Amino acid sequence: MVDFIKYTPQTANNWSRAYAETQKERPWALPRMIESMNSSQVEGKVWLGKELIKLQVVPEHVALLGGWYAHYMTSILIDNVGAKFVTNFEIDHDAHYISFKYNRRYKEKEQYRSMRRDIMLKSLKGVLNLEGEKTDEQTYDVVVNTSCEHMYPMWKFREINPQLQDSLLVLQSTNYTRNCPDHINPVESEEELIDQARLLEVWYSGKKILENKMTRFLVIGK
Amino acid sequence: MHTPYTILCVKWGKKYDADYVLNLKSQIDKNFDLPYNFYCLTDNPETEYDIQLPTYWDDCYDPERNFFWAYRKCYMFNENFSLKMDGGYFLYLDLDILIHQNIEYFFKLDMNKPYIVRGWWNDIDNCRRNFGQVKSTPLNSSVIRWNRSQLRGIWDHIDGHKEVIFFTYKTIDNYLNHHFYNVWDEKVSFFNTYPKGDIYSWYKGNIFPEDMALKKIRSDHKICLFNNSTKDTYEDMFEIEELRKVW
Repeated sequence: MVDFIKYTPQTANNWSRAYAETQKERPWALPRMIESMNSSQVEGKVWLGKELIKLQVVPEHVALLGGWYAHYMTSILIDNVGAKFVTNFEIDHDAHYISFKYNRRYKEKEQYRSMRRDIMLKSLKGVLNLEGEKTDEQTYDVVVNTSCEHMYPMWKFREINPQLQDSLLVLQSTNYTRNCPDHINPVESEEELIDQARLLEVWYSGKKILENKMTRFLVIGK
Repeated sequence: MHTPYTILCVKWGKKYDADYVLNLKSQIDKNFDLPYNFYCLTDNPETEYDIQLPTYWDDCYDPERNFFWAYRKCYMFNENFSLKMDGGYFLYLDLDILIHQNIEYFFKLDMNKPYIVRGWWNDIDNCRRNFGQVKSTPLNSSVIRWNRSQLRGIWDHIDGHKEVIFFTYKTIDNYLNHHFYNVWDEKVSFFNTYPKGDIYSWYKGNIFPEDMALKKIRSDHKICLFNNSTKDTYEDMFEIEELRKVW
């Protein structure tokens, strides 16, 4: 089960260095880093990990969409769920670099990479596979998006990525909009999230009120 | 008469009346000595310089959400939409601007890249911090300079992804910031930006942090922007007391 993140000495080393190096190299990003480390961020990701373990999903290669710094999610996916590799697709230049700092231990073991990409405008076709070759083949058996509220409905991603039709989708969103102008696509229920992604098989759906009072929805399916 | 110089504006809806266009044209006449084509791209053509705006992106716009609300400006990025649009060197100007100096300057820029306003009044750290949240763009599309077909790639990009773009971006400036500018390294951007001292904002200031006085005339600059259309409390720029003497 996933009740907590495995905070090992290596994790501590990576995370403290991520903080110190960002403070030095990209001080403007610090407030966002702090936001990314709140308790609700942990709750939401731990919940996702628990459900994947219950479903006995052990991903070979996760495409993490808009994964931001990807510290909690990568840790849970690799250390708790047993994923072999995580690729984070992120539009934010700072987040891309900071995520490497947080996940240095995985990067060094060739289990993590980050790429700058707007995943709603550009298909994942042609992204280098782990052997360094460009491929249009199915590369990611699991697609995780914990920030669906920030982007266009997921059916578009599926439309431009027909090669991923067999991938398992793991999606989170919220109905929360107050003081969050960047929540451009809130949903009212897990059903709406399922509809948006046009899932035909639903393996799990649920909702949870997090510590910050935000309701989050989680759906897993194909 | 053929001239390569084309200056254009865009007017739609009821926010700005024809006086704004006349005012802009009169300011250009005072501040530009070369022959030029003048066009107003509008949803309601009335005069010889008006060109009918296309409508093919209307279906993507949701008035309730009001995202990407100034999309009609983007039609001009494909100059071929109207056979009437002549010229090779284009300068777009918002209707709510005040021209202080001769604008021939804009036609003398090195055009290896097109130009757009970087709002020097923005704190660039704030722009970087908020990049992922699609806000705090440093760009301002009130004054754009390009040569024919230089912006066609933007038109193609919008047309090819219109449903996502209209859904995602509150303003075209945010969109341009995400896809055609590099807030971390301007040198590698698609756009060049006008240097400090060219363009300032009436409501936001001039240069962060050293010259941020609001509602201050800076006649040594070339253009003052009002960007009234995005203000909650609309102010008619012709009625602003401090500016009466300049009209």
